[in-house]
Amino acid sequence: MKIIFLILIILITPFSLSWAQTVQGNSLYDYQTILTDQDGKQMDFNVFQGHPVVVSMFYASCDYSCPLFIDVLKKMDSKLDSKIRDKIRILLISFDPAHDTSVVLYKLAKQHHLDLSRWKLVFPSKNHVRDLAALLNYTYRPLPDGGFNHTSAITLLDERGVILHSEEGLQNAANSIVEILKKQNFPFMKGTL
Amino acid sequence: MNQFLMIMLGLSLTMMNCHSGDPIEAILTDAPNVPPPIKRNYPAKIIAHLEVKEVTRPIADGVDYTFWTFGGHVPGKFIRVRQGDTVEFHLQNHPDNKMPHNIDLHAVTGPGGGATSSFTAPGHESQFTFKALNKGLYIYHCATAPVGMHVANGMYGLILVEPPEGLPPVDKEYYIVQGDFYTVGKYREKGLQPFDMQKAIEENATYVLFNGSEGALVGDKAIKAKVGETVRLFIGNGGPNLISSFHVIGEVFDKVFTEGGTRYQENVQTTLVPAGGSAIVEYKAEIPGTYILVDHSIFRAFNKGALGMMKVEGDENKAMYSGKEVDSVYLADKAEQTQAIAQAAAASKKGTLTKEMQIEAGKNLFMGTCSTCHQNNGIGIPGVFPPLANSDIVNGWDKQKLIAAILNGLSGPIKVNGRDYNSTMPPMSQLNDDEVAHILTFVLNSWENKGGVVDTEEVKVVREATLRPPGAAK
Amino acid sequence: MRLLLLAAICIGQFGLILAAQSAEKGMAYVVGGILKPFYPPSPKEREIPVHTFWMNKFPVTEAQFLQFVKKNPQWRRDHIKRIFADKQYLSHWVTPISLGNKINGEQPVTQVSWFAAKAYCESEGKRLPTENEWEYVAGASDKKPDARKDLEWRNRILDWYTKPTPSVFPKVGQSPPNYWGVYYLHGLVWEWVLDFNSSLVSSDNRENATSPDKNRFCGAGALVATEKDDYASFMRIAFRTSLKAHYTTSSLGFRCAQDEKKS
Ligand code: HEC
Ligand SMILES: [Cu+2]
Repeated sequence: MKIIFLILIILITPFSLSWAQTVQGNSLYDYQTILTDQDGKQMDFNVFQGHPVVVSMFYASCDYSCPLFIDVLKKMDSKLDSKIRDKIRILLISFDPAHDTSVVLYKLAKQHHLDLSRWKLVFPSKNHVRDLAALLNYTYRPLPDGGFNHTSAITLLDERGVILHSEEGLQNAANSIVEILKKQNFPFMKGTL
Repeated sequence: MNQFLMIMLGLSLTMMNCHSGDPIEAILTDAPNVPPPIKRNYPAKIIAHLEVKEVTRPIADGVDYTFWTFGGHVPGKFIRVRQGDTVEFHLQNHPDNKMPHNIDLHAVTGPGGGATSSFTAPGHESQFTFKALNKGLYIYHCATAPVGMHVANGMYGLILVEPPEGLPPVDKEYYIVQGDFYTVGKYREKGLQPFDMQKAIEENATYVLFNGSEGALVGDKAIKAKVGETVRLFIGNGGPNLISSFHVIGEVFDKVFTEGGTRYQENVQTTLVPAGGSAIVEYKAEIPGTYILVDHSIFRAFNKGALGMMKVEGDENKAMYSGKEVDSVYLADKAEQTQAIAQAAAASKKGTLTKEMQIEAGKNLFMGTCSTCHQNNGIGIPGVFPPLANSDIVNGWDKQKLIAAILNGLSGPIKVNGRDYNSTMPPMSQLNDDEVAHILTFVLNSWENKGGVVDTEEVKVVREATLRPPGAAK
Repeated sequence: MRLLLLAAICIGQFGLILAAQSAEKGMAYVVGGILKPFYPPSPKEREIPVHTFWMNKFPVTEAQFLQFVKKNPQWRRDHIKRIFADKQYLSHWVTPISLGNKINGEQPVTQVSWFAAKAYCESEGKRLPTENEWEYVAGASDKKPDARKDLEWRNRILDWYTKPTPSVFPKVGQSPPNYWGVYYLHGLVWEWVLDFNSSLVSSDNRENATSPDKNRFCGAGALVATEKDDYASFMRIAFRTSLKAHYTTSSLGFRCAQDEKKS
């Protein structure tokens, strides 16, 4: 009994790994770059400005964690209150513009039945991948076989593009973001948007 | 909405405990001081700010070392919390630092003990939160690559997680952490000494110290107690390599919480403190005098610096102890020693140095440097260490030869006062020219020797003209 | 093998001629070769080819960076966007566009973020060196292109790492150049590299002894140091992994590099 209690305590008060990183008063949208989406459409980085955005980076040919990665995000999405969910946008940015063409991204979106009115799969220009990774606190490295080694993280941006939360580790990050979205006071919740 | 929740939470806590969950800033102290006992009877949110500083300070007389520290000193600041407390930890890495650092608290259950979430670049700060689940006395340390080097440079300290009911009250509490240090120069070789990676790998310590410097717990800085008082020592061992056989000469510990754990052992003479571990030691100070704290791996105490002092003041209790002076047996009082030496050094600069000053300084240097072998009274040990008292060598050799013997060592057959010796005296070139001059002046004017003065210039000349054996200080 | 070596020497000499030509540009010609990384990122990458390239002989100086900031005001400390540099960015200058008299213009610039360093190099038609390029050049002593096994040389480097940051930096280029004609890769300041955020080494060094944290990383790699006693390399990796792209520190500067063909 005592042991169970202890385990409970440990579970309830996990060692908090997220050092909520808020870049004070500063928007990632100050970084200007052109992204191309799964339909071949070009757009600015701030395409979703005005919405809270869940951002993550990936590459399509990753057979280790990408399937898992999209599942985790979908599950996260499904856990949201529908009112909030309608406002949330999800932006997945590829590390691999050389291979992740619009065609590839489109296939991936269809395969996972993503709601393309709220989800976007995009690739940046080759020269901007590292900047984006740096802005989103990713560690990544191209591998000789064409793949990538990278940290998995999820970042939540507010309507202006300021980081509200950024956390490594997919599952934990997804859980935290659900919690934060439950509590966060977005203007749209007050009906001002 | 958010705020409302917080208030509700706060209210419910208040009702449960009659105490609001106001965060408390932790009191952190430098060794040998310990933060006051916790009087709270409820768990709280504690905020601790600890700043990493890379500092150059003395490791021994005239020897500097660049320490990496949690808070400016070795060991790092003492942290005291209550079991069940939630600790919001802020690790700050001072902007002038060169290295990234982190902290691994052995009291923390979680990945890397906090190391992963506290990794911090110079000029930045990391924050993480943990719950103090287990009571006990725990080491914390830096775990940045190369870990051994960060620890060897002094990155460790203690965190005490008090049981909810608190620790039984005592009169005095002190904080002592042993650590081993590895320098390119030999023990006491003067100047700024860099870290020696090879020696660290070979576990060949140059210094073994309490609280990060040879003088940290001696003379004025000795820990103090009055007769009749109970003393509690929080002992840690930062390592990186050596296990401590912690002992207080002339004391028996009434209680030892071995390895900082929950249970205690009674009537202990020497307790092992593992590297990366701790012990809580309690005893009653009963007889006045100076007690020597040592690592009883005894060469470390006399040849590497693992030596501290506790001064007990009060009335003598002859029934228990006859009243022998501990100081003279083990070593000269460090405070007086440094004073006489400092006086001579200052006078030498001004040109007002007298023979008497030299003798006084030389006497203090002799104790500790030469007396280990030649004895305090210079009579040596027959057949092993030749006498300096009334020695036909001291009185027969010219000054240059005597100076050379100290700087370069002496070995092979030698006849002193009619007796044969065939052994080795190590080179003592770590002494500076002033110090050699003082010691020899003292020797020449003691124990019926012929008298005379050796001055710094003479030592300098010999140092320049002769060669040191390999491995000796320049 | 011997032929290869000969070829390398020939190219090397040719390089010297080129180097002489581009001396006014302050760059050294580095003949490509094989880097055996300290932390092979994966079992397949124990030997990494490094292409021939150019590298600045000196770290970028305070005066040079001041010129850049004057020409590109968006990089002034009072104009910069916080996402590109933290609050300490260029905070040691007296004003956003003057060094003040405590700073000598020939000292290496520090308190600059990765974004700013990258923008500086790009403004000169250059780029930051990659980690592999940097390490390749940094492995050279004054006599040998690869001195990393030379214990004495190693210890000399280690020495710098154990000293605190001086309050006043020496001027750049006061020590002899290394084999490639590059000055002060060790012993002056840390330097940004282009892919500083590429090392998938956990900040808790002990974790790497076994396997990288599967939760954090996608794709496995055998991250085990090849030379456990090359402590300076250890420290550089630790330092780089502690950084974020907007960070600045008082001992971190940079230098630029350039592909071979552009010269
Ligand atoms: C580690 C032990 C040790 C220490 C410490 C030591 N000595 Fe000696 N000393 C010896 C031995 C052994 C000899 C004899 C050497 C031989 O057999 O050739 C000796 C010989 C001498 C002699 C010549 C013989 C004599 O007895 O007159 C002098 C003078 C002397 N020591 C002075 C000093 C002085 C001064 C110091 C302190 C600075 C010192 N020693 C420290 C062990 C030591
Ligand atoms: Cu450290």
